[in-house]
Amino acid sequence: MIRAPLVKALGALGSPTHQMASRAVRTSAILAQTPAKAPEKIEVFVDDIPVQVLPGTTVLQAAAQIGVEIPRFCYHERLAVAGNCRMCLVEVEKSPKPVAACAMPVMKGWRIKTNSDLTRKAREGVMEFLLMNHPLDCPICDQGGECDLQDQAMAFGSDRSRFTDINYTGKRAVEDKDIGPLVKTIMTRCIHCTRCIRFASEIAGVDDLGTTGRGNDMQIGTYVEKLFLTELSGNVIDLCPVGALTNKPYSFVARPWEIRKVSSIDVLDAVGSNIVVSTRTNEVLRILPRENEDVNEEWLADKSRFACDGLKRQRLVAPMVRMPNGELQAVEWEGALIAVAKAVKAANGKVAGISGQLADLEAQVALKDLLNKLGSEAVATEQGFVQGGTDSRANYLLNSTIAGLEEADAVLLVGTNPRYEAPLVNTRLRKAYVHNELQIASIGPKIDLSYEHENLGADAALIKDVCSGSHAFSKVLEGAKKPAIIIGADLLERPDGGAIHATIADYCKKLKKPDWNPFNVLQTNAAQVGAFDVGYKAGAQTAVKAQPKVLFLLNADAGKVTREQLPKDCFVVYIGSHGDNGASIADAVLPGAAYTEKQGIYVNTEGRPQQTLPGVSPPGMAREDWKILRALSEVVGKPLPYDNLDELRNRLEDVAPHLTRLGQLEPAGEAGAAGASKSIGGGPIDIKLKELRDYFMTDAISRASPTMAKCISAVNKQQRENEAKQSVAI
Amino acid sequence: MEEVRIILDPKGVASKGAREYVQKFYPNLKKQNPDLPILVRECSGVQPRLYARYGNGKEVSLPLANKAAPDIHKNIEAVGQAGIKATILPFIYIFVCITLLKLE
Repeated sequence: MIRAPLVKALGALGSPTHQMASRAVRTSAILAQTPAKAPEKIEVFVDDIPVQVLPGTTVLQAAAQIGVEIPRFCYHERLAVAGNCRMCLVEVEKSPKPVAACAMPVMKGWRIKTNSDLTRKAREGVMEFLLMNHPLDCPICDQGGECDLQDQAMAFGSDRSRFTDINYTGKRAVEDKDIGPLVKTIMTRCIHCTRCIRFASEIAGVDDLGTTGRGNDMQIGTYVEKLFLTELSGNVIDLCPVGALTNKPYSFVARPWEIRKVSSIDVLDAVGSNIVVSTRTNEVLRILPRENEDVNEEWLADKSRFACDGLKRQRLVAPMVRMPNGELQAVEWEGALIAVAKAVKAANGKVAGISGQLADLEAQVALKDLLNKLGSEAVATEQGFVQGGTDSRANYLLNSTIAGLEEADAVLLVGTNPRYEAPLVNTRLRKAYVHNELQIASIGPKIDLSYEHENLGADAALIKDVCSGSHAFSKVLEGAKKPAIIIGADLLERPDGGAIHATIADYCKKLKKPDWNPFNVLQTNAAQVGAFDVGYKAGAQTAVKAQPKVLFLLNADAGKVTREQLPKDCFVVYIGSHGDNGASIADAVLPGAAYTEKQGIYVNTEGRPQQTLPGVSPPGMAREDWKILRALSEVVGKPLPYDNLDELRNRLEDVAPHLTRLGQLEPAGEAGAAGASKSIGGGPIDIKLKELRDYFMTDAISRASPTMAKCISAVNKQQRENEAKQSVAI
Repeated sequence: MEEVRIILDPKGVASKGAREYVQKFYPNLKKQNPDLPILVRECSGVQPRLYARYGNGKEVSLPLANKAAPDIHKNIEAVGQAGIKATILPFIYIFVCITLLKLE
């Protein structure tokens, strides 16, 4: 009897009208985009308050419009409606039985009662059933304090239970599953909301999770023992309303009420995901996503979430200077700065700077200003780009914007694997693939993007074919309402990168639509766009070519510069947080702050400046990077004209005013460089991050993270097992 | 001259000339000076401005608000020559001031 609305909801899911229904479910964001076509609103009453809603709105959403929150476990606004937890049952006048608010569309004139006796009784009944099979282990449960079941049991549950557990036979128990090094499972706590299953199959595109058994024997799992390995697996921890799926590295570490929360920005990829850094006793304990519709919605990629233990390893805690015997020795700041200043003065203007992937904008501007003052123009980013292609911002930005890609209907990926280079851009593409009938093709090696796409081949000459309009996919792009071409940042490092860039930029001028720029570069480094915005040149070789006597490495750890390329007497100064490639070749190491320890601006791949805030203080004698450079400028005798962050930000505003408009997106002009050659060389296009195992360690912080190391070994182990099974089968 | 920055508003009336300048004169200027970074930075609601940086980090700036594209071209040529003729800062300032006075 009570399943009737559920059957209706499920029927709608399977039918061709599902897309319409699910679109209606995806609330205001979508609805707001098509106000002109909006059909007439209908009136319903929630607790006797009239509400005007669009047809197809569910009871739960109608109630939410006037701020009445209906309790729920299985419903999640970014996932398909399942309607199986029954917690959202509410009374509707003249309806014989309560309806599931999450799945039931409202009808004209309905009077919904969210606080009637019947509604309360229904909730108490559901709660009693849930708690009957839920263990009473809240004191040792990691979800304790942020558990939906706890909160809703307090708010909506009955004050007594009919469950008597005297023989210890009553409670259901389920064996725990090993689904990887990131997500810990305590399956007895599971209430079968199926959010994790829906997330995996809808958002992550990995159909690994599912249910087996029925009724009391129902279990969530992978059926055959298998690791749940995706680049987005951590999100099921946030989605799980109870403590069945918890953060493995964070297990038994802290309670939510003893944690200090700091809103910040992630820098381990170029998406600029909004995060909350949880700290206690000057330690970063965990990182959670913060909602931002324009950037990461409410998801977070695994590297951004779990690599935070790398912030405690391999840290540089004291300034060091290389002694004549070749060893780095810890010294006081004074000694280190004087040693560097001596070398800088002796270099007589032959200095250069390279900025790496984790450098914040403030430090980058300070370094550039200092080197310019010393008479050097060799200030470059570590990752290469088209030479001289940074004049116009549109040349190096993801111009269609991250949220905009959701509306794209034809996308060409050139030499990029968004799944591992920017997982949360890939979820947008997947969303467009599912809801917008997006057609995707890629030029590059064959990769698994978690959705179907056409691989056109790996030959670079294909770019010319497509851009001349002779390729079959050109017709798709030209016929699309919102076409987009996404170029991988690594691809533009090639010698013919300029030609590839110019060819595609020219073609994009043809594809351009009003209010839609199809030209996109998907950056992989958080610091890259900011560096170009303030006028850094592209490529470490620019700095090497200057044959500097002193080379500054600002967080440059990708290992693009080696000692052999530099003059023998070159004095290398490393400023950064981790002892990695950069520090290993340095003559002087100046310890900087990591992104959780400083207030710094990072510009994401679409050109949105956002700032990190300090959650903890830098370890040991480490200092904020720009302050190190400011102090050094004083010792060198060319003091920089700013003493505090505000003054430095004023300087940023002089350099490029959009950089201080935090969180805002300033659209760029048109891409395309004047007079660039257009001869694309042959040779296949390659991608660095092809598989999941390549994803986990890409920068100094994730390389220092033990959790990321465990992830790689888990992926390798899984592959070995798969191979073993296959050989047995043969 | 080591670097030119043109800051403009992509929509504002005051930046109309600056936008036109970037459209019409930029390609040629870039062809003549392929190694000179000419950074165009858009930001809504700002007054257009021209920054020129010379050796040793010396910077001068002049407003471009409500100026027509050809005038801006003259300005940029002026600051470019200032860089060649004058190697010390006071000279550049005087030169730019004179050009400014002439234009107004």
